[in-house]
Amino acid sequence: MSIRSLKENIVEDTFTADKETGGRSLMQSAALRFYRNKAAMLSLIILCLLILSAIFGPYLIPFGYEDPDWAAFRSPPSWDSGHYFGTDQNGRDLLARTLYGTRISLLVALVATVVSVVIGVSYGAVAGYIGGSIDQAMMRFVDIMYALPYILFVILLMVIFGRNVFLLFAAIGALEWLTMARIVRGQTLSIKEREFIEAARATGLSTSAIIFKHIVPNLTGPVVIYAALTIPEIIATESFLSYLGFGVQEPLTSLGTLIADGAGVMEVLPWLLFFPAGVLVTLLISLLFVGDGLRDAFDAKELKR
Amino acid sequence: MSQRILTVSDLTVSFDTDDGVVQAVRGINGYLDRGECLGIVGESGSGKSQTFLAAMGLTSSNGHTNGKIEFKGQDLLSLKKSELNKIRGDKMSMIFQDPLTSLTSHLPIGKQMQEVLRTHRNIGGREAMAICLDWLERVQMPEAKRRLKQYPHELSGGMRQRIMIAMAMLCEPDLLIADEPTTALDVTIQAEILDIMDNLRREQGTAIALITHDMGVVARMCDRIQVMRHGEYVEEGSVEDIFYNPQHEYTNMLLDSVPHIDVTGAKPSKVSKVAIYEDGGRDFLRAEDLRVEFKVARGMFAKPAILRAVDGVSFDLQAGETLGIVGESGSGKSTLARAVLQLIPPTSGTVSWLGSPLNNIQKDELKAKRRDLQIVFQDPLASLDPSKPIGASIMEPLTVFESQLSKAEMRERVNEVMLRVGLNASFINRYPHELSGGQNQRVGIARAIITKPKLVICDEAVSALDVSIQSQIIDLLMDLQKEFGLSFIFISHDLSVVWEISHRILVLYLGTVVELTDTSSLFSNPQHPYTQQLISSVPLPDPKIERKRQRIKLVGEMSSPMDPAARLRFLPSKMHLMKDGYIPKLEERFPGHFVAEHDDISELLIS
Repeated sequence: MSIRSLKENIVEDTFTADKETGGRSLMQSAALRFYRNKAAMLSLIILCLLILSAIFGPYLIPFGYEDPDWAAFRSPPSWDSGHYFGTDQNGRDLLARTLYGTRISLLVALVATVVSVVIGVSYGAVAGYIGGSIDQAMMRFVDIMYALPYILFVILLMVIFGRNVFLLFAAIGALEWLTMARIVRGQTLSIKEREFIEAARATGLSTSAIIFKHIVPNLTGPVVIYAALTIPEIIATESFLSYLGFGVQEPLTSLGTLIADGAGVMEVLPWLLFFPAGVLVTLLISLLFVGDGLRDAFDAKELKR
Repeated sequence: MSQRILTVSDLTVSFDTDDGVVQAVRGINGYLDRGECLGIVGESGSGKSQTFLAAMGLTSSNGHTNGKIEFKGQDLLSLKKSELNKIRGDKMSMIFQDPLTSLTSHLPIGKQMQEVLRTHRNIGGREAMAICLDWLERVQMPEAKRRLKQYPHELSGGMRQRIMIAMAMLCEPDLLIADEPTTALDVTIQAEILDIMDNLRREQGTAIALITHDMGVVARMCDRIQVMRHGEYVEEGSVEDIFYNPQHEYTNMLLDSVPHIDVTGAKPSKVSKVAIYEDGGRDFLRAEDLRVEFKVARGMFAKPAILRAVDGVSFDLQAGETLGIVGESGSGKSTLARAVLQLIPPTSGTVSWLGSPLNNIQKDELKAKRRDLQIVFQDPLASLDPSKPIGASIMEPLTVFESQLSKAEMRERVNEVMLRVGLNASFINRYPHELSGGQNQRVGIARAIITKPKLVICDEAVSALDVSIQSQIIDLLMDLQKEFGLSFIFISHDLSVVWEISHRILVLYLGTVVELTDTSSLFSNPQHPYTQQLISSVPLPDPKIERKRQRIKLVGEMSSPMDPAARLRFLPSKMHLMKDGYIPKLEERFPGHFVAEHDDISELLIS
């Protein structure tokens, strides 16, 4: 029968058509769109360079971040002396200090972001999926936390735990998760209504398996975007706290501390402000562009579907 | 007499996409005369909508059009936007599939309609209101005057589509383009909307371009048909030629895929070849007086209203049998399916499975039973986790119910089941969005049958698919039924599909059983007025029969499930007992043929 064979032909048709265009997961298509975004790609390259130099830079230059160069106090940037960024009042090489500061700032951002993602995603997904009065109770707690001024909170934590830098920034992360939890909860509410969640329930999957196997993986888009936008926020917060004197303490340094120090002597030793501030601004801008690029890349997926 | 309205010559439409240029329309020619109804049929992606979107200047921004579309002597494609605006909405208008999204939600109906008149005719105020009202009456809008002040969300789907038609007709256009105008509507409403369009064509001489996938609608409405596939017309001709003497094999296949309901009961449907096991007995699955009620909040202080989604449904199912459940939107058919599977806890009533209860049991016990009870959903893409390759989705039930198997054994089972449902095994690592609708539905079926269940509930499982794919999936389901002795509960709004696949059919109206009997007696000898109305509303894909059929129209639209009077809609003589909570009883009129109590049909017809 020609009809029967034609039907089979149609199935074949779609098979071959798929082979030509298919083979891409949603993540891969997002990556492709990101790759085409010039601003985001450039920012990503700059960001990678900054990260690499923060990791390996300190080993490549001859000066330590806390060792004074007795031959050069307050020396401006120069090629001849090898102090490319100049030195500070104590003769410490500014390049070494900036690299070290970048390293600390990035580390802080990483710790705080990881903490905020882990808490925020699980909290938001659980609240959103279970719903009802549990959801209400969990989200009201978030509202209360939101209402607390975070500087007060930070000072409180510092009184309780003493001055441990990483503990402090873990604590910042533990405050940052609030927004993450709200975003994740909202997304969860909409994912929860989709049929594949019902299909999973009909299969007999337990609640925790549904949350962590089916809901969390589908949150990747918004979580990645928001995390990328959280990093610069935390770096800025760290700089602010260090500027106020709550953050990293001497001789350890961070971009914020360096800027705070530089701001005091801006008129006589301008390079002490200029270089760390330049690095911070570059870092923040490239992070923001990367975050934006990620959002566009993932949102396009939402539109196309 | 005949007057040419539209001529399309060598039209091509192409789109730039991430995957290169896609040719949606590849050089088509066509024409449309005054007062003529042209049907454009084809499956999804055939480019049937793009032709007319191009005529309306609505091709999306990444599209390119070439060729000529002449409308009363003017080439539409070369017109400037401002000139085109003078024509569209005035001489040529369009109605879309989804009437809710095509109406502006924050404007009352009257304002939206007036806007059209102000733009094209420069008429405003009272005069415009009068014209709007006149048109609303012409499309048989109940209480037309009140509607002018209402907002789109306050109206039902059928009423919104009437408004869309009235709006499109305001300036008395020469051409009405209807893009799947009744696809989102229930059959009874569809029948009314089609009647309205047919009357307009006759009275106004408006040419109608009807774009649809439904061969029944075409058979009923159109003078000429163009069959489209892959952006080209494969065949073109009068309705009689296409239906009774199709030339192209694709047309043949399309017509062959559509289920041809036989209302005389003489021709058996496909399912009659599938034998029912009698040994399972009546204890296989039994639902008794099942009720699901939802509380609907009505503001902060008001008592919440009670919505009875499922209102006392009882039925049983034998092993190897298919029970079709039909009903229009809001009849509670999906809720019923979910209540049977305990995905929504029933408010009262019992479901028993092989003699033991399914509801009010421990979670673990229920979980163990889920292995035998599976479900296939309507939207094949939405029912698969987009972040997982399909292999993982198919394997999931195994990880729950047969976790003792090794990974390799599970993969082996997945391969087997994929082959069984007709999926290429190399697809195992593909993602759902890379597959077509039909392929995804095969994935959904594979997932449902991998644990070798005894009962599969198909909730509108083929409704989102093209007819050719639809018939393939139905064949697949019936093959699986024969092979594994599966029982199905097959839920659909589409009577022709249910006719083809079911042994017995249960007709639901607002959560209650209206009629329950075997398939052939339901169609050849429907007892309840609502069933009669439903059956008479289904467009049959046969122009000669279709045009002669008498349609049954009952008073009133479908009532709201929150309205206590709704229970007695077919029994107005007992309306005075409403306060006592009187419910029409289900009586066995013939052996195995259950009908809900109702008044004589002559009392309920629109005179």
